[in-house]
Amino acid sequence: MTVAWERLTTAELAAIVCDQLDRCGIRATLVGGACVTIYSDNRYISGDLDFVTDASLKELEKPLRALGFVPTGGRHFEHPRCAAFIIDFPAPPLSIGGDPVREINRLRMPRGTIRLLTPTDCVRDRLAAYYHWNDPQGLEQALMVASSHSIDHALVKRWSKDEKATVKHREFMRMLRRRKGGG
Amino acid sequence: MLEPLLGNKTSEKILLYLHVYGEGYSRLLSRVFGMSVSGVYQQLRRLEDGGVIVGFSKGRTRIFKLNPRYPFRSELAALLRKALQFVSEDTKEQYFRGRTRPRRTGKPV
Repeated sequence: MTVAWERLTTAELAAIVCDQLDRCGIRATLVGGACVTIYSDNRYISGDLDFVTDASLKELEKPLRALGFVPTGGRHFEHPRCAAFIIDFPAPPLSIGGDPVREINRLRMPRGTIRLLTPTDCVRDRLAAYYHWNDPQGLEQALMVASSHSIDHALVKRWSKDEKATVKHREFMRMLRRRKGGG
Repeated sequence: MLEPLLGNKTSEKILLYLHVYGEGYSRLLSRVFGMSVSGVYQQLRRLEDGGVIVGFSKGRTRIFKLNPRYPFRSELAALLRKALQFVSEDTKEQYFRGRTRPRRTGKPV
């Protein structure tokens, strides 16, 4: 497989990594900012590709080395010809706050299929950063995805209540309505 | 107390400290508990890698807190609350009842 590593997009790289791990029987799900990049059509670019998997770092190392990635400390890997991205493996389980992730989206690409959070879970994932750390980027990214995708708002509302963030959720909904032109 | 679960005493002390005070950093934890900085740092990294705690940079210091996004955070908090009930009064006084309220700069102690 010839890969122009220097010119890969987030989605292309995610597909290559997912495909490679899949071939070795490792299921990895893309989470975090890279999902925002994909769902926002690159309006937001994340340099981190975060995958959650039950595989150990030892199990991940061989297939990733075969692609040219090397471990660079902690739980992340880098590629010498793909300096714009870091592949990271946050600790499992796959969850959004206290909620296990129940549904996985699959996005077919020429180089493989990406397993990733659904738009609704991507919004919850970004909102979690806003709720718990007051992260304005998290709020903006949640708005970006929610304004261009169909979202299960009842689920987001319920979960926000569990996260003790009903006030911030109301603020998010107010901004989302304004962004969609609903006043 | 929680050592059989957590694997070592250092992690237990770190988690209890973060539960009580909300945050901490490696030098402070090492001073409070009389442990080596490297030993504390190693456990902080292990807990951070596992998603149990999170780290933020403030100036040149890396501050750690319990991760509010950790899926078992409420269960962990309940466990730590329970564990604190079994800590002796002397140990509580020594480690877990430090002053956290503010004190005006220059006011004599």
